[in-house]
Amino acid sequence: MTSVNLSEEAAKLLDFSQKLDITLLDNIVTMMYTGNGPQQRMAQEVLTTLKEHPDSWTRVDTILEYSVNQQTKYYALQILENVIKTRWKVLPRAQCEGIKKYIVGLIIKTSSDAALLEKEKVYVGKLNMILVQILKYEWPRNWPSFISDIVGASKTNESLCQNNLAILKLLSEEVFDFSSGQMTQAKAKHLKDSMCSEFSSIFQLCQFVMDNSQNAPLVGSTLETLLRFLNWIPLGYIFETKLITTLIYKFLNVPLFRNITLKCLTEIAAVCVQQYDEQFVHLFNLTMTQLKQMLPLETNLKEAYQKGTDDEQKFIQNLSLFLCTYLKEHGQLIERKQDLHTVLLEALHYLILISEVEEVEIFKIALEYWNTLAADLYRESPFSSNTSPLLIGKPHHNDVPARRQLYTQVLSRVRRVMISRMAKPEEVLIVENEQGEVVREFLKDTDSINLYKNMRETLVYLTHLDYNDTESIMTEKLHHQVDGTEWSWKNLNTLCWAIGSISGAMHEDDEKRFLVTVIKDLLGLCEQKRGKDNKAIVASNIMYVVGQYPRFLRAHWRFLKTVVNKLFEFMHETHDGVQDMACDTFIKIAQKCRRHFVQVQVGEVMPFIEEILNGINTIICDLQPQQVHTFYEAVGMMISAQNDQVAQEHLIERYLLLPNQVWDGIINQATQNVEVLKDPDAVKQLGNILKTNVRACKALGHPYVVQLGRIYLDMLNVYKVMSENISSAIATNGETVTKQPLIRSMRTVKKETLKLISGWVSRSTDPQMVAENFIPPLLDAVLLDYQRNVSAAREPEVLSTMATIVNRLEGNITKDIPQIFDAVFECTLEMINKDFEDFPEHRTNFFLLLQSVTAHCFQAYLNIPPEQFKLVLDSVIWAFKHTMRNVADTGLDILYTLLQNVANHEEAAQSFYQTYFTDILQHVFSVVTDSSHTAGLTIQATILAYMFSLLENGKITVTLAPTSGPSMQNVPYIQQFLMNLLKAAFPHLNEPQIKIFIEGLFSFDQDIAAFKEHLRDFLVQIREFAGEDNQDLFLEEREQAIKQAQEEKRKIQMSVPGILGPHEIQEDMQD
Amino acid sequence: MDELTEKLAGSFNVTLEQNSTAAQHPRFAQYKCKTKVDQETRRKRILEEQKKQRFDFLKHVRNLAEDSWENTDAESVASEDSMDVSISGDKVQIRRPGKYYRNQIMYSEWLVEKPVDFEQEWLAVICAWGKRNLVVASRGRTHAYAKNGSRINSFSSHLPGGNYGQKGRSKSENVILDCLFDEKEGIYYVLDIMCWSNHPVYDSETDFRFFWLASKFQEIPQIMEKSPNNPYKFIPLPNFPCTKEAISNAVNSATFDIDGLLFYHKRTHYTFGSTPLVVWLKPYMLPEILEIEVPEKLLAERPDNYSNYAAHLEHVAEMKKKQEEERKKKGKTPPKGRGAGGGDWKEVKEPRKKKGGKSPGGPQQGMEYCENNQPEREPYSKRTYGQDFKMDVSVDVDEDDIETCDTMAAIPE
Repeated sequence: MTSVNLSEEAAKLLDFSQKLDITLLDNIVTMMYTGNGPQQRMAQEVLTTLKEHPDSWTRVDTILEYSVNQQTKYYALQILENVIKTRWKVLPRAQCEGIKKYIVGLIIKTSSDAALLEKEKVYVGKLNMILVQILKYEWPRNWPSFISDIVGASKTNESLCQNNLAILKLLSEEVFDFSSGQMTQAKAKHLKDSMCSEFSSIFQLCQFVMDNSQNAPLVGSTLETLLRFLNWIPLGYIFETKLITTLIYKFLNVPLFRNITLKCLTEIAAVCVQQYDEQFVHLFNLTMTQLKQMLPLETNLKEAYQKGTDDEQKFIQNLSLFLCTYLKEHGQLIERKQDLHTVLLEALHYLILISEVEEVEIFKIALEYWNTLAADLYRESPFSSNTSPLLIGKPHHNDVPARRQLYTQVLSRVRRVMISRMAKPEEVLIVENEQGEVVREFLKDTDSINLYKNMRETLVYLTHLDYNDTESIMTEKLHHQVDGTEWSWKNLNTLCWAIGSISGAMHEDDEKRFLVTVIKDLLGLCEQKRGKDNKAIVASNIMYVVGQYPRFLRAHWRFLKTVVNKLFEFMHETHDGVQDMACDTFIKIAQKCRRHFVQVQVGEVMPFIEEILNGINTIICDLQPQQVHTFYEAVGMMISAQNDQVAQEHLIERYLLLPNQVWDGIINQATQNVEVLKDPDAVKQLGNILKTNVRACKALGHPYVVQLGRIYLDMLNVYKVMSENISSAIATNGETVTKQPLIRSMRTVKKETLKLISGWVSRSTDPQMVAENFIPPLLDAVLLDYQRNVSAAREPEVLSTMATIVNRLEGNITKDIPQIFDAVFECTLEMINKDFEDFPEHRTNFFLLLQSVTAHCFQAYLNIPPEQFKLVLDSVIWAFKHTMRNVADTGLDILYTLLQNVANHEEAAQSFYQTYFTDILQHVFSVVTDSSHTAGLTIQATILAYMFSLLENGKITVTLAPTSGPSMQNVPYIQQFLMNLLKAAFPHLNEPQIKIFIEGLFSFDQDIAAFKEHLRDFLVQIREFAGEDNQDLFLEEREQAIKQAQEEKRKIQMSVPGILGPHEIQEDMQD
Repeated sequence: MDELTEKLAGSFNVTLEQNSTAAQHPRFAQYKCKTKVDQETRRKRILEEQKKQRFDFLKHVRNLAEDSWENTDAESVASEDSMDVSISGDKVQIRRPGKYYRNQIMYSEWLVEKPVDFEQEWLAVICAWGKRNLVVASRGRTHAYAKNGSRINSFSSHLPGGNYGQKGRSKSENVILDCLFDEKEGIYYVLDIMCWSNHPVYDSETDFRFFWLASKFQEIPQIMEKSPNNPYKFIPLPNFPCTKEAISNAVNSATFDIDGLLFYHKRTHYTFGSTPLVVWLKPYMLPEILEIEVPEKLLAERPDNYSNYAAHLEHVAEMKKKQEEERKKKGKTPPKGRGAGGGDWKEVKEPRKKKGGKSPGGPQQGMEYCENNQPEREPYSKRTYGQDFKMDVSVDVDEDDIETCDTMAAIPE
């Protein structure tokens, strides 16, 4: 079929006066799935047009009846689902009945035959879904007998019964699990109530099947359905019937059903009520008895899992879920019964075996339980079980709480598990940044970091419970490293992470003794191992352990000094990774022990920092630039611990001597010949020096001012020159030139300059001094340059730097805001107002700047010309219309702050309201009702609630209604305004619906959560065409709820004297 | 604690280098590295070994100049591992160069005590502050590489093969130099020469290399001046005979800030990694070790612990005593943690008193307390490589030469 033909034929399909040509449709669908290129596109187009046609659903029955192509049938069902979801209410009743009957008939026909049901599984599944969509409208009002119908029909035929149970399962999911955001709150409640009240007949059906059926698929389907019911059905059905025993005795040991049965039992175990204690104990006992037969206690689960089939692996996972859920909720119940302790310990034994399974997701389940248990036991009596040295000779188990004694053995095994598989603390990634530089980043893999945190926490609790045991396990495992039985890089790393993780958990003396042994053993290991690779691994583990114990280091100066000297030695080591390890450990130690490096230690004549500064050239001579930066940051931290200002300034001067010499050299050359600043080498050096300064500033904080003052003006000049160079390069060669190495390093210089300035300002402690001395030259150099530059050469960091400055200096910079706005506002806006995507960084930073100005320099808005203010407000509105989530959130946040700040300036406020209130309302509603903005619903609700409460509380004294129209009070005017607005936007909604929505906006304006739900209900409604029939919307119930909220709000207001004006209080209250 | 600290300071290493200049000078360090054989002995062995050594340096130069390593067969280039076991107790293995640009430079050890033939057989070079770089000029470009092999700079120079503008023969030539880069001034101070105009001099003795360096630079004086095609100056560092007067004069008349002094043995070839045939001193160590006075300005750089030297000696004596006592207490506990011990070393586990000092006059503590020898018999120590390349030879140690100090190696129980 050629495309010309195709489009002609397609026209026939869309002509609803003709009979549907089913072969033609089948052909087009086939083409859509198997064709390619223009043919496929054409087919897709035809199908989409047909689907969107309002009458297309009338063809569905014909298609389902006569089509021979399964895909065509699915396509027809899509059409049907669409019409049910959106336009059910506007279809004629007769048609609704017709569709309903047709679908029911079709389902019964297809599912009555077991073979057919199996064959058409997917098709029937889709039909079931359609039926459930219909039920959501029809049941129970138009179809009150649905439940009894379906239960009744089930008894006629096993395969029909199987499918009916699947339908009930779907219905339960739709009503109880996925109703939020799909149905209004009132409707969901109504359906839940209906389902609960009719549950007994469903339950009987399930029980009947479980008791009598020999049909495996049917039983499976029943259990699946039951599982969905278990989290909401009335508890009597679970605990006052023989459900539990049936599950355990009849199904748990059947391989086909064990997984689903275990899931059901887990669901039951999660129930948390008091009155069924006996049944819970019973459940545990029976389950364990069965389990021991199915899975002997001596099974090696780690191996079993590794070799197991998918089903077996799932069983182990389900078992872990069951045990953890049960023990967490009802473990104490079992603990109280002496005779059940053996069973309890067996269950824990399983859980330990499960903890050894290598699959991390399963481990996490068990970990969560061990964490709770260990924390619980510790909090109950926060003392270690160990005898304190002062109490030697006293039989210590008397002191151990009985509960802890019960768990002693188990906990020791758990310790071993934690120590043997401790997770990696953090990952370091080598990445290339935008400027083409290789940098190290700490990977933010939250999942694995969380695993480490949880394991660490658990092991710390376990150590508190018995630190001797933790210590002896670690020591033993370390010996296995030394004697080679467990030696491997992975094992050693794991063990050392574990050792490092319990820092601080032991008493200081114990910790010291322990660490001395550990380090000694590791040093021995390092000496013993051959090959640099091996030695480097051991060495980095030694340094990791040492770095984790700052308390130990601080208490032993000579050791600390030796460690640091050793690190300096490693900074010359060329073996892969050793230099990095040395620098990372050095900064870690510097951070925690900084004070010790600036004090004169016993037996020495000067503080160690002096020695470092004396030898700094030699220490860093083999390091890479980024390692040098880390080194400088570390030394900066030490210097920051010097409290004497004069001494500190002296140290800073020597500390930065080397970079300053190079800097001065380049600056001197540049003053003679500015072309030097185009030399790639010089530019690269400047970038490196600035990076060193950024790190120094980060470490030193405000005192860095001595160095900043030294290079500040030169730095700003360099900035200007770089910027001009880049600009002219772009002007001559186009934007691609920014990819060139030289231009990239020039941008690095600019970016680092800005980073340095904003980094320092954010750490400065004297805002006034900063504003007076540092800001004016900055504004001159950086802002003018920004304004003059071509867009591509504007650094987004200029905007974020300004934002940082405003955040830090607050009121001190208000006077400069007009100047800042003049320079950056319009030219940035020009870059970002064309669409929602270009210049994403400028975009984000621009709005961050607005946010900080709005928050801290609101006064500035009152001083700028009204046109400029309007521009600001327009930008805010522009911001929250973005689909880039961070920008939209910033926009909404600015708006909220702005509204609150406006309210504090009475005079300005009224004219603001008069000009902008309705506008803002309209724009906010436009995003609220846009489904791509649902993520911001909370803050949108907050803003709207705030605006409505302004209205309601009479905070708006000017008249909002336009002077040309009839004069109206503000509240009725806004109600009318919204009514018109929403009616125009959503013509398919009816007036009472909208009216109730608007009323609710006022009633819930003190309760953000309820306000948000109210908005969400409305969002559900705008997706459906409302017919004449409103009953389904439960408007009355809604109205009732709204009234109640209004009254409660009033009551609260009345309880605070003076909240309500005298005219609002009713007569009888006046006595 | 002290013991632990000492162990950390001493035997804890990734690369086994004796008297490493990355660590403190063994004589002034608070804690001692245990060394197995003294510098003098090791020098003798290496010089002997050097005669037997055969290596295809022409091929090596080609690798460096063209940055192509694919066709180096695996045997001929040192793997990481074999770099590791170099000069240990009972054997001498001259290191082979690393693959790529890592480990291509000859490094020094600390000068622990003045060699007996110091004035006759050694040459001194005064070093400016700077980063040690390998400089390779070839195919019209000059590259500088850091110790760990990363390329840190790329520029043109008047070295043969060092810029694109060169005509004729120079175009296909190459040069490899060992330099100190002074970032502040933009100067490469040339320490040593490994290749000039495609002619390798790795296996020439120091005498010759220094002569070669000086004469080649005289041929192209524009290398020593800054110009558009030669943005960094290359300045060969002069060398001096190792007499007190010559060194003292040189130190006093240096035109740059002195970082330290290198002493090259006249007979050594250019080898890779650290070697006892090149040794290093900081200027403030000259009075103590070589009895040469230096200006007060240079003495001011002395670190804190240096001025505590007397106290330090006391500390060392104390430590030694303590160890003796411990050893007596423990009796004959064989040292643990040594994997491959052959039968023969068990017989030397008892400490042996050292016989007499080696250099008259100077303080001898350095050797006395830190020498230790545990010959290691590793089953894999005898490896053979390609026919034209055989550098790995075991040298048996005469037991009388061995000084043991086994408590340092043993892990205290």
